[in-house]
Amino acid sequence: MVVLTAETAETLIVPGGAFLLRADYVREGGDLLLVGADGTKILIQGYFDLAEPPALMSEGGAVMAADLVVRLAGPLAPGQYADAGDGLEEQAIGRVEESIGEATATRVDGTTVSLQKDSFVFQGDIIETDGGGAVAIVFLDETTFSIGEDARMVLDELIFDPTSLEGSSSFSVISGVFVFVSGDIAANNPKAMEVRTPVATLGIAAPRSPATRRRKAKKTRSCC
Amino acid sequence: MSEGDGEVGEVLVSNPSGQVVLSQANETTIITSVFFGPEDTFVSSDEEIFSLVAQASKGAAGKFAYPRSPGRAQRRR
Repeated sequence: MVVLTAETAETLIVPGGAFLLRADYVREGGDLLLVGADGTKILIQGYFDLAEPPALMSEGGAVMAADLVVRLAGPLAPGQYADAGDGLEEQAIGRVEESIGEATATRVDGTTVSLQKDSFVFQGDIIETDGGGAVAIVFLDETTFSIGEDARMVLDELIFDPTSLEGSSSFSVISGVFVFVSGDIAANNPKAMEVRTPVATLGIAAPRSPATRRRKAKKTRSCC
Repeated sequence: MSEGDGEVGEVLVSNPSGQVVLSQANETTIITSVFFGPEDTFVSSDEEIFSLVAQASKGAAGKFAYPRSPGRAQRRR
């Protein structure tokens, strides 16, 4: 097992190429353990003890922002948040339109659920698909987001006012191929939507012509 | 990617090493690392785009395009 020591810095280099993007992130007290599908382990001592832990970066220049690392490692006490019970739908930021193969969502409390058609998704969810899996999600502002097989994405944030049709949204795609069609948030304020990846950030520069930036605007369709 | 009317939006792709705006249908860039900015753009063919973004499901009346793995598209180039 490779052992690294976390230090206050902008980034910490983690060996292993794409290992960083595919590994399981495990919180072990103040340490972060990365576990690959083949059993490879990298321990980063003291990562969670730092007030501002560093981003992790592969040798090839793929970056996992610190907030994503913390999110992927899960909560201090998994499964101990109160059950939302009634009103779950009101808290959802989106709904699964279609799911193929195995697709899961890991909630902020660390619990993992299988995604089926009409499953709700929530802010902070980690969405993952296996080989052959795919899932399409429609968000509150009518942004549609599809990810293909062996993908992992985090629903960082979606704030949306259905009256003014304004808000902000941020998604992080860590691995896999994705397609999105921007919705009302970007139509009304292109800078209010971003999609982060390990090597670049995608933003909407213009949601079609200025005359169509309101609700019935043509949306910006992009893929990676 | 364009809608049926051919109109497209603009997507800003950026990292600490540079940025590029994609403003044409099927306009494409490649980014491999934060150490390097987006490469010069080029326009992919419809076939190349659809090989990457294949519609694996017909159940959503074509609304959603499910992506295939990147390797499949790269092998076609």
